Amino acid sequence: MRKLGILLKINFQAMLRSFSVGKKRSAGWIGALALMAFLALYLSGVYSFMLADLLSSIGNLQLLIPMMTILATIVSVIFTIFAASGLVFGSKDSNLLLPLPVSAFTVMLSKVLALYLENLVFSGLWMIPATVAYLFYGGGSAFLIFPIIISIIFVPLLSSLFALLGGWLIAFLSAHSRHRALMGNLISGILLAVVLIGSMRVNHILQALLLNANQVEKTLHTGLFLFGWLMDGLQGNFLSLLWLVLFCFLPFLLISWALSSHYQKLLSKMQSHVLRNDYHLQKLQSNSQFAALFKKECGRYFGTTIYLFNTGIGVLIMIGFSIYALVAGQSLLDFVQQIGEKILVPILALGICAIISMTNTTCVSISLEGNTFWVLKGSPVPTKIIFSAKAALNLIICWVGTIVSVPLLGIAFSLPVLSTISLLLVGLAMGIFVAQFGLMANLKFPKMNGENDTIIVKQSASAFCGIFGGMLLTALLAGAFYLLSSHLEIEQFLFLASAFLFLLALAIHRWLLTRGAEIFKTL
Amino acid sequence: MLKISEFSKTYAGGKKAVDHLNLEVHSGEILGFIGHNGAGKTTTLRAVAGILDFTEGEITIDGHSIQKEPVEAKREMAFLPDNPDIYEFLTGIKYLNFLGDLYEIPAKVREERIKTYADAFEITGVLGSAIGGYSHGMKQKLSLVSAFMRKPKLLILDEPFVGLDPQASFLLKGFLREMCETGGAVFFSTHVLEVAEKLCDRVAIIKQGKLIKVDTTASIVGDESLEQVFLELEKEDVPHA
Repeated sequence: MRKLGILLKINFQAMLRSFSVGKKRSAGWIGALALMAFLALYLSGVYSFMLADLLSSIGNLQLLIPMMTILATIVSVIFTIFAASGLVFGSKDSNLLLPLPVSAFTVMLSKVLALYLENLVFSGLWMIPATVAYLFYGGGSAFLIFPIIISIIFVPLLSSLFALLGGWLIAFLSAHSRHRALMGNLISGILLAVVLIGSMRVNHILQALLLNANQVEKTLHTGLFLFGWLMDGLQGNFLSLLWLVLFCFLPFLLISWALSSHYQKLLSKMQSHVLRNDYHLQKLQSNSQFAALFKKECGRYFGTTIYLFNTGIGVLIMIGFSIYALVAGQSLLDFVQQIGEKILVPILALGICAIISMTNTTCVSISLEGNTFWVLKGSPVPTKIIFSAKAALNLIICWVGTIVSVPLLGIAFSLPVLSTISLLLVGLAMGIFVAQFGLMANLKFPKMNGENDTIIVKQSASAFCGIFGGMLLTALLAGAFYLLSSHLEIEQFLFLASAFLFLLALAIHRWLLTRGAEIFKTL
Repeated sequence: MLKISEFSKTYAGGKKAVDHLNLEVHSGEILGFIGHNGAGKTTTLRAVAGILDFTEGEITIDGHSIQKEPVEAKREMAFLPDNPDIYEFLTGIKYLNFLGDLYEIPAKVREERIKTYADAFEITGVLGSAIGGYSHGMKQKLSLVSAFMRKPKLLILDEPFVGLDPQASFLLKGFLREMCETGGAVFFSTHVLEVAEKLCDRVAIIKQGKLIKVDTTASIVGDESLEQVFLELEKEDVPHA
């Protein structure tokens, strides 16, 4: 137990270090935590009060806490499933930890618990607005805090377990494949699709159930029985709470123990590589410096599953949704008529900008150079070309997503040509901004000594800044349109927004070539 | 070929790693850079290679300032760090071709050079495999092939003999000598004093960031071994600037 405590402490410190910004270590993780807290509180607040209002009107407020707990679990799994593969099975410190007189179970558990800690913090923050909404709408007395705290502590074990199983599957199948990166990408893609389809189904179930209280009670006591126990616990049934605790805790422990039995073997397999000794020199092709660097960036991007999925997930969803919109056709048009055709283009613009701002590869691409950074710095290549190659990859990913999706959405929703062009333009302009802004964020908050790629891609300060900076700008643009909507048509606004994004990108580009290049020299 | 003038480097936190260093490496010579751990060898080599930024002093390679004309200066040299950390997701041949592109070496020329050096270091067969599967020694050999492929005027090596098998070490010494005979220059750090004694035309000894001795190997060694001289110098106090 003491050894587990020591390892946990190290993992926890590594997690905090991953947010560090130069010497201002505490500022980094406090900032990251504040951002995470704001997002969790904001999203949960919107959902909680919306659901509470709806549920109380049909006399089913007791469903609020279980439903918000289900949502917290889904969001946690989506956020940590790829991190599990990197943090638990892809960490570089296994050569250091496994020779220590500590069992493989302890080593693995310490890493899984670090993952759990992340889910615990998120879950705790997520449930605060839900509890407030529950109390506000007269759901019960302060006594219910106890069952909610129990659920906050134990239910994240469940999401950590799902993430662990997903991470194990990715690691296991990749380790047993000759084309490791390709297999990792394939399995991650399938898992992502399963989680997204699953969460859409849950969403459908929840929407349908809202209209039928008896059906809700039944489902929470059958398919989603765990959350049914939570609901019973809120009504004072301590035995149900005990069942909830046991059903979260025991499978977590048992499956972690079972997976740890071949943890060492799996890590060894992952570290071993196929080395062929039959290569014969062939004719080589020369490229320009830019082309060589761009190809290298592509190799890094498509060869690193966590990098590919963490930054490419938005574009994949956007393309997936636009194809779905084209296929779903009439049913979506009916939905659009319900919500009002006037807000369709603003909603699509918001969605496109939000997704493109999430697609930020440049905010970690310098950090990912890590120990190999000397190759770039020692090469006779102007910094401008290095930046251009990094930005070009980001730009192409964003642009491909926009160019494929927007025309499909235009056809699916029968949008006027001008609306489609304005959406296309704002997507392309957002792509230019994101690529430049990401580089700036990475230069400002570099992390050249990340323990592994997962920490750099998911937890570094530049990743937070790059992605949420873009989202903040999207929110500001949405606010600007809200204020100007009585004076401007959405298409006019989108043309102006595109010009603004382009000018902003240009200003950042100039900064990159001057101050940015100076910072690059000092890294 | 290489001129270091009044070079100093102070790290964040106030530690002065190198203090007013003056050193020259001439065409056709091999200069060994020795000193104990933390003496400032790697800091100097990395600054010369343009990897480490500095504010005091001047470093020129073949007349090009590494700070004012970094691209021109880097084109004339090749640097290999003590740990061969290279892109593990690339295959050996893709890595060599990548560097060939960055250094703008014509395809035909790089093919010939890769063949010469990869065959010599016996790594041609594995060039089609991902570098992630290479051993430490193989990565080092690949890095050496990449350096010689560039035919640099100045070769900067940080501990090049650590991790190499005896045959590869022997080959490397031969290639270094050959390079100098054709007008190139080599500046390398090492802890293997026997190698420095036998291979270097001149030796520079650094202690606590200050250059305490630089001369021809024969003059420094005299009737003793380089090891004895080095240990004696290590006992002496560092002269203040």
